[in-house]
Amino acid sequence: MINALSFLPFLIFVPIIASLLCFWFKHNRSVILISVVCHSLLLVVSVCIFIDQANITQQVYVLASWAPPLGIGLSVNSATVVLVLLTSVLTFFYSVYSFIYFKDNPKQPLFWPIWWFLIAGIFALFASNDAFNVYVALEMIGLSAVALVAFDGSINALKAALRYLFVGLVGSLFYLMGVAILYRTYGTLDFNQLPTLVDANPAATLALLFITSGLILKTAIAPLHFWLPDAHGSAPAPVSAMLSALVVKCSFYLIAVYWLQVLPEHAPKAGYYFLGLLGAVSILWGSWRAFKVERLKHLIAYSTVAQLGYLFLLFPLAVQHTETTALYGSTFTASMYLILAHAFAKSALFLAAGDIIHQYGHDNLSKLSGLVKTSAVSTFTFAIAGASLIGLPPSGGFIAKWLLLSEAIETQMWLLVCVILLGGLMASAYIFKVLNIAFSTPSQHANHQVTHKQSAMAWMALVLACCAIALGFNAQSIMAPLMAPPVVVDLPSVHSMPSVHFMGVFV
Amino acid sequence: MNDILMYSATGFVLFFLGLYFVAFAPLVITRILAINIMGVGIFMFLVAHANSHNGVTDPVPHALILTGIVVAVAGTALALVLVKKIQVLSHNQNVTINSSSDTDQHTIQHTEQSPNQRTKDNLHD
Repeated sequence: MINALSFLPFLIFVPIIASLLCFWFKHNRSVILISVVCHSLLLVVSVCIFIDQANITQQVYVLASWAPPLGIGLSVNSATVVLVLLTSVLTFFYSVYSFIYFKDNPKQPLFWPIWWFLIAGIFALFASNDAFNVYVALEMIGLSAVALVAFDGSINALKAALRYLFVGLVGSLFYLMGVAILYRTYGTLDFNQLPTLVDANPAATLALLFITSGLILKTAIAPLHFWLPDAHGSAPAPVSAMLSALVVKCSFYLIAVYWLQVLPEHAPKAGYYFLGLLGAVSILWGSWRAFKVERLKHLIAYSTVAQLGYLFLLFPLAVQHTETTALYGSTFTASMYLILAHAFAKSALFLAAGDIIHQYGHDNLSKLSGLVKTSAVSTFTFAIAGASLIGLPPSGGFIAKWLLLSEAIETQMWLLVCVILLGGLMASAYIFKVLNIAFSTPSQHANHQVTHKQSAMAWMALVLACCAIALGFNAQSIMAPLMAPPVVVDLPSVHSMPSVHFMGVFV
Repeated sequence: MNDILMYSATGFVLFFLGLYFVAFAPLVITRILAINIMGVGIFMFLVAHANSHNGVTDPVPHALILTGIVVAVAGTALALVLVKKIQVLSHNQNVTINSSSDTDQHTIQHTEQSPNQRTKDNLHD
C-alpha cells in the first residue's frame, strides 16, 4: 500500500511549478497542456490523500528531514482532506471555465501564473502545520487574489483591489502579531506542540485575540465585511467564484483551528458566543443587503457574507454542545457540510453570472428582465443553486442547515434557531427576487442588446449547481469520513422536513 | 530585561500607530507607509526577544522577520502599482471617481495639492 503522506508536498509544489511554467510558456496550447497535467496530478494526489486519510492524519510529513520545531512539517487532518479534495475539484472546474471566459482576452497569458499561485497558496494553507507557514500561505493567497481582482483593469476593479489589498495586509499583520506573541510565549509555532504547552497565560489569550481579529477581517464577517462585495463583485467570474467558494473559507478554517484545536484552553468562553453573535449579525445583514442591491454579482457577494455567518454559528454550538475541544463531532460535520454545499452553490451562481455578463455586457438587475428567454441554462442554474443556498430539500444546503438547526435545538439555543430560519427565509427572498426578474417580460422600450450567445460556460455552472444538489443525496456516506470518531447523526427522513423551509417559496 | 521590555513596547506602539494611519490617513501613499510601519512594529517586537537566552541568539525570529520583510516588499510593490494605475486612469479619462457601484462606497478623488497628483482615499461604511 502506498503511503499518501509523501504526496503532501506535491499539493504545494505542483501548482507553484505550474505557475512558473505558465509564466515561461505563454502560448495558449502550452498553458492548456500544463494546466491539464497539473490539475490531473492534483486530483490524483488529493484522491489518494482522501482515501488514505485514516493512515496519514496521525502523521506529519517532515520536509528535508528537519524536525518540526525548527523545520517545516506538513500534515492534514480529517477536515483538510475534504477541503483539499474540494479545492482540487473546484479549481479544475474554474480553470476549464477560465479558458472559455478569457478565450479572446489578450491579457490571458498574465492570468495563469497568478491563478496557479493562488491555488498553491490555498493548498499550502491547508497542508501547513505551523502558525508561521500559515501566515506565508495567507499572504500568497492575499496578494495573488488582489492581483486577480484587479485583472480587469477597469478603475472600479482597481479600486476594489486596492481596498482588498489594504484589508488583506492589515488582517495578516494582525495575524502575524498574534504569531509573534505566541512565539515569544511558548518558543514554538507548531500546531501539534502548542496545545501541549498550555498554561494559564494571558499572553496566549492576547495572541488569540490578535489572530482572531485579523482573520475575521479576512473572512469578511459582519462589521468587517465592507470590502467583500466590491472585491468579489469586480473580479472576473472564475475569480469571484474562487474567492467566495475557497479563499474566505481558508481564513474561517484557521479561526476554527485556533479556537477548537490549538488554543482552546486560552479561549474565553464568551469569545465563542461573541463569534456566534457576529455570525448571526452577518446572516441577517448580508441577506438584507443582498436583497437590496442592484447588481447581480453584488447580490451573490452579499449572499456570501450571509452564508459565512452560518459557519460562525459553529463556535457557540461547539462550546455548548460538548466540553471536549476536538475538531470533531456533529457540529463540526454540519459546518464542513455547509462549506461543501456553499462552495458548489456559490461557484455555480458566480459562473452563471459570468455567462450572463458575457451575454448582456452588464449585470444590472433592473435590465435583466426576460433573462429566461436568452439564457435559460443560467436561469435554471440560478434556481437550483439558489435552492441549495436557501436550504430547500433535497440539496446539500438543506442537509447542512438541517444539521445546524438540530444542533441548535438540541443545545436549546433558541435565538440561533430563529436566526437560522430567518436567514433561510431572507435567502429565498433574494433568490426569488432574481428569478422574478428573470421570468418577467421585458418592457417594450427597454433595450436588451444581447451581444453574445449563451456558451458552454452556462453548462459548466449548471454542472456545479447539480453537484450542490447531489450533495443532498447520499449524505450519510459523504459525511462518514468527516466523523472521525463515529458519531451517529440522525439524517432527516423525507417525511420530517421542516415546513418552514417550504414557506420560503411563497415569499 | 529592561531593554527587551522597551523594544517590545515600542514595537506595540508602532503597530498601533501604523494601524491608526492605515484606517484614517487621507492619502493612499500614507496608508501604504503606515502598513509598513505596522510590519516594522511586529518585527521589532519579535526580534527584541531573540537575544534573551543567556547570550545565545535565537535564530528563528530572524528567519521569520526575513520572510516577513519579503512579504511586506511584495505587498508594498503591489499597492504602489495599483495606486499608479488608478492615478493614470482617473487622469486620462477625467473620471469623477465616485464609484458607481451601489455597495459601500469607496471614493478616490485626485486633488492638485502639489506638482504631483495625489490620490486621496476616503473610506466610509
